[in-house]
Amino acid sequence: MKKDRSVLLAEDDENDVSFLKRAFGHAEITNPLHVASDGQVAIDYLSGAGEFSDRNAYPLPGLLLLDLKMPRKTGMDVLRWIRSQANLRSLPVIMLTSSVHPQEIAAAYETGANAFVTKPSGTPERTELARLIKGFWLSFNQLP
Amino acid sequence: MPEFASSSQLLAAIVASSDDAIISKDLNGIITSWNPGAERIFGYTPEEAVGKSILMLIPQDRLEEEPRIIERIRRGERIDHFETTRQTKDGRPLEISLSVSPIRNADGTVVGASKIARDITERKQVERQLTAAKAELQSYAAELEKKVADRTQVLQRTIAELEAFSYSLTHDLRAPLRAIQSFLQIFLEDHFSELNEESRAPLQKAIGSTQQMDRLILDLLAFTRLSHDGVPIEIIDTEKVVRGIIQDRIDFQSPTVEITIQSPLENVMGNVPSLTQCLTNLLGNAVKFVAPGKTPRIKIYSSAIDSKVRLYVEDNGIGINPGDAGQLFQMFSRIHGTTYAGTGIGLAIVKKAAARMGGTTGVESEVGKGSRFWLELPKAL
Repeated sequence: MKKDRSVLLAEDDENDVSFLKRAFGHAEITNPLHVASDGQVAIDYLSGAGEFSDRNAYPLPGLLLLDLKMPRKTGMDVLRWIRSQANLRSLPVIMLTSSVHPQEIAAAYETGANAFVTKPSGTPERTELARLIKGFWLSFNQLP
Repeated sequence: MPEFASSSQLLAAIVASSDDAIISKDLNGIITSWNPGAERIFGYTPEEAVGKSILMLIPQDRLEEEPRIIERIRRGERIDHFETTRQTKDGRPLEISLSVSPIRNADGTVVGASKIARDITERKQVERQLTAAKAELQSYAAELEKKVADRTQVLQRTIAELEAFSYSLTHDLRAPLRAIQSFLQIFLEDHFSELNEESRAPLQKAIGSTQQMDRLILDLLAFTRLSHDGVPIEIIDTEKVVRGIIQDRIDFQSPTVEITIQSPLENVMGNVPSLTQCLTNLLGNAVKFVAPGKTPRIKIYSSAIDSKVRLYVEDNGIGINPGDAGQLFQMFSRIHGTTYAGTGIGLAIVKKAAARMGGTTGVESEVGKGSRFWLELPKAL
């Protein structure tokens, strides 16, 4: 596992945040996990605005888990912004969503998402997803 | 038939009995003959008309027509069915159709004109009414079209709202449901050893219920999505679609299930996602509704009838009471109650998806003897 790669989770639903943290724990992911509570916070974090300018406390992530439906800025807004930033263009982004709209999936990939995942409903499935993220995105996958 | 002394007498009789006004005049416009038709139409007796100027029949605002008519007659030309207005003895305007031809003497010189006038006042009136009716009809049609356009717009807005609704249905209803399910599971995981079987059971049932509701929401969404717009129709390699479905689903494969495809399957006209949806649901049912402990044996085959193809999914399941077959394809219909998991939407989706491809669906079954569901679609061209 590439332990130095931190993960940013952009998610407004506190329950989903705690569930995913728990799943990361069960999957024994030790990479630092940071949370942005909506799309605008995610943009602020990634651009290093305000308190996020401290890159020791808030390092640029090696993986972004991005919820699609969030207040202020949606996941799609954040994704479009990321792909327009020179230093973030190649950041791996996994979209998370409750919906299963085919158009949304297509739109996300066209905008530059690296994966699109429907949020698992149960804890066993969520732990399995965390294991797969650990095995692929945080281990085997090479970043530029 | 009466006898006529000469052909000129015969002609005179024809002129006299004509419904049309037949008048002759010389090149100065002086009336030289006047038949009973002319008397009936214009109101002048022959005594009143002969020797007078033809101008007495022409309204003030059309007087300039006469010199032009005479001019053409002098040149030996005919005037056919010239529609104009003339006036009667009591000054009533008449709409007439006029034909004027030159009269020549023995050496061929034009010496006058014969005119046949037909009263077309009535016809003109009918024509005007027709034109008015047509205009009215057109304005109705335009009004109707506008109404249709307006309603279509309202409908499209409603559909957009419904789409937004179904979106929030999945997103906003599933989020709390996911939370309930997850918290229950977390509680069960964290306190598993402290709980005895008796206290675990209701928690597990609660989790099962949330899972059931989640499936219901997802199926409802799939169903509402089918309500919109038509789908593109193309030639489908049926067998490829069927094999693809089986390959994608481990629960459609051996040793869980024995599926036999009677190759070749007839190709159909349809839409791949819709057909996939239909067949997945039919296969899912065939796998699900079997007696406990029995291995589902499913046969897929097809037959062409005229321009249609029927795809059959035959199972060795528990079967259906033929009396229940009618309500089977309705929304939320669950004839097997709680014995088998389900939302009662699967076959409603099949019916709707089939209809969207211009097809139909149905079932033949007997309790205990398995079921044979079919999907009828247009044959591939």
